Amino acid sequence: MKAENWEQIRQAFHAAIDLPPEKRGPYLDQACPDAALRQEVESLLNAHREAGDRLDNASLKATADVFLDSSDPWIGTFIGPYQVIASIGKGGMGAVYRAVRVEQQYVKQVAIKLLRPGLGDDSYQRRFMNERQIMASLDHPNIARLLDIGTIKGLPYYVMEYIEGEHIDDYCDHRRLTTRARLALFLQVCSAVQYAHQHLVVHRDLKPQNILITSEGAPKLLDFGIAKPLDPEIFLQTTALTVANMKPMTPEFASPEQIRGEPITVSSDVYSLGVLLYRLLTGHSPHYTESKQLHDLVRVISESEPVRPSLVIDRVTEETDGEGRLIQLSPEGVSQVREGQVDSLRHRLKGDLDNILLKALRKEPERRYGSVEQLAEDIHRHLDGRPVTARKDTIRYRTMKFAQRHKTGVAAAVLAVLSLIAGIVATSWQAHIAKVERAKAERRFNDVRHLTNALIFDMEGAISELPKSTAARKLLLDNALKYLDSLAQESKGNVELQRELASAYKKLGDVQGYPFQGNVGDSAAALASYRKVVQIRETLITEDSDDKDDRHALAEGYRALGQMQITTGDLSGALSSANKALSIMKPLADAYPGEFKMLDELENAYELVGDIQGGNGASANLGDLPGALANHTKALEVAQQALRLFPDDPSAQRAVAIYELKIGEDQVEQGERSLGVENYRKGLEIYQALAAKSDNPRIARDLPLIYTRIGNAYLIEGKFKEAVENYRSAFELQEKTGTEAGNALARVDFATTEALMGQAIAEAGDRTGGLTQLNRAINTIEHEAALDPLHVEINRALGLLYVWRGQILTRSGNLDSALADYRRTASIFGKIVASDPQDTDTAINLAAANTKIADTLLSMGDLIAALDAYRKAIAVAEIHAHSVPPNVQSQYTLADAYSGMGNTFLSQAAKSRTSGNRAKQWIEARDWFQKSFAEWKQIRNPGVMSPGGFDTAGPSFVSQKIADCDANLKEPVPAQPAE
Amino acid sequence: MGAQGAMGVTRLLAQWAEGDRQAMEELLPLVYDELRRLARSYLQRENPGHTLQSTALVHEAYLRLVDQDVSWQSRAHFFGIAAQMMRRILVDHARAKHAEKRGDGACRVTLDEGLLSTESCDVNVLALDRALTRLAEFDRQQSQIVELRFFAGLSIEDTAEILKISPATVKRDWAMAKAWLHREMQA
Repeated sequence: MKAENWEQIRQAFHAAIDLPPEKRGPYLDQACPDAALRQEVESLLNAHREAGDRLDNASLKATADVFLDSSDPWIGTFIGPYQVIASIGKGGMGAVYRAVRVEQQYVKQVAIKLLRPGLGDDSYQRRFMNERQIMASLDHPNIARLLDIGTIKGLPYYVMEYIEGEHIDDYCDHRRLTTRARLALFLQVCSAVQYAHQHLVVHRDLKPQNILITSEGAPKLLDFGIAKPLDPEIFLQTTALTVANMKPMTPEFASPEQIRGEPITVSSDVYSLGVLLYRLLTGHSPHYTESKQLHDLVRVISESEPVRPSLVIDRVTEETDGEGRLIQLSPEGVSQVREGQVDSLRHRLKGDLDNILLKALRKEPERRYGSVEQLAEDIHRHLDGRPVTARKDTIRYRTMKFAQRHKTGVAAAVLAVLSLIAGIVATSWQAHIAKVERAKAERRFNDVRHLTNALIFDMEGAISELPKSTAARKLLLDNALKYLDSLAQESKGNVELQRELASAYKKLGDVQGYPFQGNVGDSAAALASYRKVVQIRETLITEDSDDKDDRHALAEGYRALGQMQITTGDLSGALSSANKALSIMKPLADAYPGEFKMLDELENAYELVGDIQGGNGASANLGDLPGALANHTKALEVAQQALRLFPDDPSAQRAVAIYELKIGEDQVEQGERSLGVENYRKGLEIYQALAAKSDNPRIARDLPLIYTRIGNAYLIEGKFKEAVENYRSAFELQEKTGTEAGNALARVDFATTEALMGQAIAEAGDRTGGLTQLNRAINTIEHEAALDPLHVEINRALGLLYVWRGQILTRSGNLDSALADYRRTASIFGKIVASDPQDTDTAINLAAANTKIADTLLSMGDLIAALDAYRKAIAVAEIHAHSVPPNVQSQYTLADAYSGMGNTFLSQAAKSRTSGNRAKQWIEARDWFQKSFAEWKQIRNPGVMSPGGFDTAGPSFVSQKIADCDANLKEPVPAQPAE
Repeated sequence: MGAQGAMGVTRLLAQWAEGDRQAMEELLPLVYDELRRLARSYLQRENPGHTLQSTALVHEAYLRLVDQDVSWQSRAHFFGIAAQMMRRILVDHARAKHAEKRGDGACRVTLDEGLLSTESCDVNVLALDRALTRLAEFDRQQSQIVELRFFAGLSIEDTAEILKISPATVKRDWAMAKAWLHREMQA
């Protein structure tokens, strides 16, 4: 049939159809002379008759499966070798089906996740690909295994093992598992999550519905559907970079940073695991709101602290579960499926588990466990009965050190790295590159921009949060490094870019070297980065030698290098770096004496050299105290110069104060306590002025510490009245925070000051008054120690306080009580050393305590025991007294212990019946006293007390004893009868 | 979908009526989804073996999606779309089903009782679809009439109104189309 005929046919048909059938023929004869045409029309008329009029009422009927299936066309179809049976659920990106494959004798069930049609958009496809890549890389008995991947009709899918099981919370409740059993199960979950983290995957949606327990009792983790890859390679392949905006998470289990849309890290999984464990162990949610509104829940999650598990079980409330049913929660109810009795459950949760859970649920990621591994380890420790690391939420106990001037906060450092890299991008890079290279540059530009974005939005947290042991952190930093290195290649000859690069390397080094979570930073990597900084900056100097800023930056680089070398123990390297910094800054500061940053860097260089020579608190140093003093003094001079330029600048004032204090420390270290006090006072004055002007909490905190230092110097010197005065000043300043509830460490500080004061008062002559103070202080600290028995700093303080009290009791002649106190101290210190063999300070203090015990035993006449205790003390003290540089407390202890040995032999001598024996004892005793005296000679300007506050007899006592022995030995020795 | 959908569809229809071709793009999926959704809910109410009238579906979708005081133009557009949708749905499904089944040659091709039973013989729908496509090459109006009447179940009068032709013409064209299709599908 031809188209042009159609209209003719149509016309003819129209006319014919209106006619009664018998009239049609004749009509056609007339209207269609063309035979073919007529045939056509007739044929149609026939067909019309055949078709009948049923179609007039035609309504399309279809059987049900048409529509059922077309709303889900996959059911019944085959995807690969699997036939789809039913739909399990729909996710954001795809649907999940249950499918089977008949294999020989059995039917294998699988779950298939298929990308939703209609999402043909590239970015969705890519994200789906990501999921597949994630799943493919995970192979763990507790993670639903990936079996197969493919595409069907252009849609990607993956096949996973089909898991049938109970949600973990139901499983535990139905079987009434005890706390221990629940913890064991939880640890398996942790192992799976940790495994995922090691493969650079954060789950992000850990909740009971995603953790099934099979009939064999094995946990299986499901639905890494919104899991996030941390691998920058995968990440950089995604084009549409979105700041994490994942809705499909369950609010209850989401971490505060997820709720706020902030970058997610492995720490977020730690948080979710914390919520899970909280539920498993108590039955309650850690977030409690009266209203069930979402925004209230969100607020509670990001702002409120959860109640301690051991207390929350007493709460009576109701909740709706996942299916909308109302559940009553009561103490009896939650206990029944756990430990049985309410008291049993409470007892079980109190202490370790309380602390572990609270630590996992901290609002700030950096204060949680750094990794799932650490959480699991703490649980293991708890199950084994060992001390856990989780502590009550207290501010870090301050050692008596002053704040560093140049601390790099990790957040600041990371942001700085990133903004610098971004800065490289922002700098008109393209302007520097010839047009010919534009394409290459643009590709590079995009790469860097991706890296920047990736770093900013997702890796910022990851870099600082992942524990060092994870390859991931290294990978991330390595990638940043790779980019910088390749940029370095391309930027040769481009001075501006080189400068940017050097800054970026510096900041990268700061991040790499930063110690966090109790781990030491990656010093080797940081060193390498700093070396690059220095290398680049050196080239800039020779090429563009007049630029003072370049020189300044070079000096800064050497300083960073030097600081890192101290950390790694390379003191000679550190010194060389520091000296280089100094040699650059001296002429520079001379040439630009009006520029603050020049003076600042110069004084930093002096300070660094001084620190290396004389130490800075506890860090390694060369033991060259005079050198340290000289350089710190120079630093002070420069700081004073800077202050003259900017007399009102508080940081310039604080710099001067700090150097005065450092000089004071150097002098006290050398035994020049009076001079030291003078310098402390100068620093103090400045601090007082600063405190009066501003509310800076750091200054307020440092002020009483300065008074205490001064007090200590006086105490050791034997100037007790002055010591008391200064302690009292510290005491008064600390009184406000020290008596506040909720701040345990401030209370401990305060109590320590009170104890020092008590000690000084007693030494000054008022033993009763001193003892009263000391007892009060001990009460306070005993109370704190009872609340937090594993807190090392609190226990250290308590140990010292017992010794100080013991000493006062000894003076009063109350030997039994004194011995009891010394023994308490030894016991406390012994426990600390046992759990942390690296704690040399406490080991040394333990030796000192043992010496005190020995002294007392000797006074009570128990010579054997005394000897034993002295020997124990000597064994430890010898090591540290003879190290380089020597530990001063050790030296005192050693000297006292030797002299104690001498005294013991003198007592032996007194007991001897024969003069021959007596002489032997005196010779032995004199040997020991001489050893003691030799030790005393090593100590510069010894005081009446050692740095730890232990009483000491001093060298004059010892030399007197030597003289006594000599005198005794000079007496003629009568002929010895045979023994 | 709900209220928001209704507004959206109405607006889009109006826009399309004014010549906005983009509106059509947006409209299609909305209508499509609604039809399928309705179908699903229908069938879940009855037991699965039961048959369903697609016309009822389309009318209900219309009621749900479009504001009632809309212009007849919009109404025409809606049904035009809905009809095409239904055709799509059925044909797609038939194709999918047909691809899995093997050897269906024993099917008799009939338009039997107005029942296009996709269960017994998928080829029907496909054959119809093919035939209809061919018809459209010759006579667009006739294929539209078939679509509206077959897939959207509109009456002669409604069809006439929508296509802006006389009911008599619709009747005649309908007759011819029926005949032609019948003949075409027999071949």
